[in-house]
Amino acid sequence: MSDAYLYELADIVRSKNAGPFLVTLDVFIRNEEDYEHVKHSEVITKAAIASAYGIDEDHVVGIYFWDPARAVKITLRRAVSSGAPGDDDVYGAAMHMPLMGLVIAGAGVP
Amino acid sequence: MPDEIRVLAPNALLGYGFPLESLRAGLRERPHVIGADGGSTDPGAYYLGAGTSFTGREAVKRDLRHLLAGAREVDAPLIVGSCGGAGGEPHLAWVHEIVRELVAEAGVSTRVALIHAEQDASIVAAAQRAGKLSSLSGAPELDDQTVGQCARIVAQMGYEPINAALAGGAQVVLAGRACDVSVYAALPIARGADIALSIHAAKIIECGAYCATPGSATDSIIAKICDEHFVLKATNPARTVMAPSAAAHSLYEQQHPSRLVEPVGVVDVSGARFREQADGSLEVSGSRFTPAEHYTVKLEGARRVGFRAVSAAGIRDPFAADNLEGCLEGARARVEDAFGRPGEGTNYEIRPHVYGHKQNGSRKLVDADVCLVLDVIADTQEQASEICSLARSTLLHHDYPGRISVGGNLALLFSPHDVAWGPVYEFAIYHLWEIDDPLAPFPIEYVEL
Repeated sequence: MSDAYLYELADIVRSKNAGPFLVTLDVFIRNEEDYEHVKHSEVITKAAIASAYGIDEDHVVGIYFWDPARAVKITLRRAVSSGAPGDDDVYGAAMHMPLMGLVIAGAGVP
Repeated sequence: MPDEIRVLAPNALLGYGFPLESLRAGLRERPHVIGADGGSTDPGAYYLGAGTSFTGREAVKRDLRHLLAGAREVDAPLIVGSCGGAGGEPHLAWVHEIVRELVAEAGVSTRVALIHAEQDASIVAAAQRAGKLSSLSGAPELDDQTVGQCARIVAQMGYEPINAALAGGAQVVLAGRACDVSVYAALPIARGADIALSIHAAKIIECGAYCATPGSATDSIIAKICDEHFVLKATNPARTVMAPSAAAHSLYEQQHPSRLVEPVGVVDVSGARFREQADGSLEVSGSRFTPAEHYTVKLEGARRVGFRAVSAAGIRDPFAADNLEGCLEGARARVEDAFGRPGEGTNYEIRPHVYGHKQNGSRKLVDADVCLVLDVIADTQEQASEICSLARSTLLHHDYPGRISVGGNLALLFSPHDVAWGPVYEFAIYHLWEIDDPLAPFPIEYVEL
């Protein structure tokens, strides 16, 4: 067992606005085993997400695991609201990058 | 209610297009209603503030032409939500005019309901004073000035005004700003379908066939809402609706994975069951509804914060790219020399957006391949354009240590170099408004075309 980047375990890693002030990140894990591993790995925490995105922990609004879709949802407060001065991603569609690179130790990728 | 209520969603957004064969196949299922979602806050506050659409007129007219004809053919109402994108008065009038043209061109007559969603600032201010507004997650608190500063305020209607318009005999409902879900859930709820199933189905189909496999925002899906479950079916035989993609779409653009929050209450989909059927459709059951303690609608207000000018250029010389910070400092200094520091006389902000910066770091030359977008916002368009021009010309010729290429630092992308981008807006209001009557903020006007 070796380490894997989160994206290597996922079919989809996406980001999108959830209203103009929040952005929501969805990860769909490819299989049940990896999903359980990620869920119990304690890698996806408010502290880890805040660090990966360079934001305050209280801007991580919520982290949710949703078993029926083998999904992890992370909702963040936007630094700048959608389309306001200083925003560089109006739809919030390219904010998944830092999440893709989280390292999941001992995941099932050789 | 009948055995099932069928709701056809031709695509994710009015004006995105859909294959005509998919619409035809959808019509053969005899839908009870055709819904089309026209809007979103995703494109930013500009479109709400400026009163313009983010979709093109011809594209919207094309979709509406086929939807009006299709709805007429199967004698089902057509409901368009969030007309014109942001759903304010100019947006609603824009779609109304398109429908008027189409009805005249087709030589038919129809009864149209216009549901207004733009809100008078004095009413919103009164609601604020009465403590009826609460800020949504992440949105700023309102101060005494905010409401008056907004260029336009709309409220997202629930399904109730749409059903009132249908009860008023409308064959075409053109709704101002509306919850996406309301467009598709209204008629099923009016006909007695389960509210949790109606809202859950509406949430999944509001992006058209995006929930199918393969997914598409420009193709059609039909929801059949029954007593204990609903069935989702892509009308294009090239797509199936599988459990993972449909479950995935339940949580799309939502803050929470399993709670769908609507004006009337919350649908909890955590217990939902998804069963794939042999014919490529999907049966969904098990969502539960809890009524809200207070009925609330979302308010959206756009405030103008200035005017923008933009310039775009490439930088290829790695030494120029490595010295970009210094060049930008030089450009700021030159602008301050002419206009003062930001806020001292002239209000302005210069934001360089730099894409693709590679450090050179060795003798081997690497094309820096940088894109620089200069983003200047000031109180007036004239100021923004002048500052952008001065910053850009300074960057073009600014010297730095060890400069070899003295012909210019920028590969300017366009002539003219700078664009007057126009007004810039931000969302100043994104709040819940507690109301007693779901119909009151949304007056209905009937027009015989």
